[in-house]
Amino acid sequence: MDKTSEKDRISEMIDAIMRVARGDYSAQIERSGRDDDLDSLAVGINMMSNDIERDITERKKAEEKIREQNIQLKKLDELKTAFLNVTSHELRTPMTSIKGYVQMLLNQILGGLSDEQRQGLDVILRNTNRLDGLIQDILDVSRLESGTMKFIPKKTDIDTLVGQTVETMQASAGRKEITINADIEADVPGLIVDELRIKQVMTNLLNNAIKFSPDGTIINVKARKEKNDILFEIQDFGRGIPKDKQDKVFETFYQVDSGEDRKFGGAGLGLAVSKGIVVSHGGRIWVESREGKGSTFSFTLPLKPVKDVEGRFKAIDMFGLEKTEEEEND
Amino acid sequence: MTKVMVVDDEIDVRKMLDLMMKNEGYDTEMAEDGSDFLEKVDSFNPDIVTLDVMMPGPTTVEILEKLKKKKSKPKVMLLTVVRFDGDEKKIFEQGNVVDYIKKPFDIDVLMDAVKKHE
Repeated sequence: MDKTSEKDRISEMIDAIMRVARGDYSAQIERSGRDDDLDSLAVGINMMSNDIERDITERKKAEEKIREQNIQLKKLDELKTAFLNVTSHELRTPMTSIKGYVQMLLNQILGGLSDEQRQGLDVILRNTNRLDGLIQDILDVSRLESGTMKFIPKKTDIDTLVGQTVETMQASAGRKEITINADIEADVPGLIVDELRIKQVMTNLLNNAIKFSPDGTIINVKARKEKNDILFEIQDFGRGIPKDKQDKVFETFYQVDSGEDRKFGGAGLGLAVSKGIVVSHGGRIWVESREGKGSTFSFTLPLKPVKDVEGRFKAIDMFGLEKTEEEEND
Repeated sequence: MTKVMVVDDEIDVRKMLDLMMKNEGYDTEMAEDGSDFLEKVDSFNPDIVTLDVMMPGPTTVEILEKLKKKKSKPKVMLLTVVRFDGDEKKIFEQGNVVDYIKKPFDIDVLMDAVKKHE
């Protein structure tokens, strides 16, 4: 075999390999027809570039499909957000007139009331507030899940925060003759948190505690510094939560006992929202409970605020999706 | 007498707010949207305005921008179904926004706020 043509063939092959290496998979080498090693090498290079080209084309097609699906999902998500925003506006506007007029009637601005009339209006007002709370919870769950909940962290005094929250709950506790004891450690340091959102968490926990406490019992609210966190505890002496259901209570739309819970009102969103808010702030939330003895809901908030509060909730696994994936992999 | 102007595109809410204000002894005037408000504001010359957020026509920021050019300088209380956060914060940097009340509201919360800014 003449040396020059052999050299030419080798450099042709090097050239082809370099083209493949640079991403040009159309490189093909004309076969010599000689049944030698170099010809086998040429066949190998041709097969390699063909295979890679096919793989890449398939991958590109798959990527394109995923991209299209992502666009669709994003559109769907935007649609859902828009739907929720419009819905909340459309639901709240009529509630504004209902609540306003009921309060005017109750304040006897529009004339005197009999006891029965007052009781009836009280029921309307209470249920209007309940509906408003429900709309708020649905919106919050949706915002947490889509990563669009906004937080406004600022320096917050714990004593005031707990005190004000307990104060707003006294009326509903009083109806069941429940006493709320607040025990805030002296000199507990302030936190940089979204005060309204943390109040919302405490209100949710206190609401549940009141709901599931027998008449005439007590609820203990505690806050103290523990290592790098402030630990909050809300303890009730109610019916408690069965062990196998203690983790599930933080899931959306979960009710420990759907029949019983429906009687008490609530859609099973309050704790899911609370978890989302606490985790967004870099804290943890959990429950310890013994059936028939009562429950203690605890949550922590870090003394050193997390930098990216608004970014964090995007990582929150509100619907347990990541867990499902892990389980599938197992 | 303190003058309050109620701006809301929902007739039921508008009339209700008007009644609440009248009951507290305020002199009142109503407007059904931003344009209507801007037309009436100088002639009524209110001390306080309750301004609904999210009405048809000019946006809240646009209304507040245009209010700056008016002779009348009322204190503005925003009434809104959404909690203010994020971008909406810039609304507060406009004009004389003194407060905001979330809808549906407690009558006591609203009236206390009006009294505070009276």
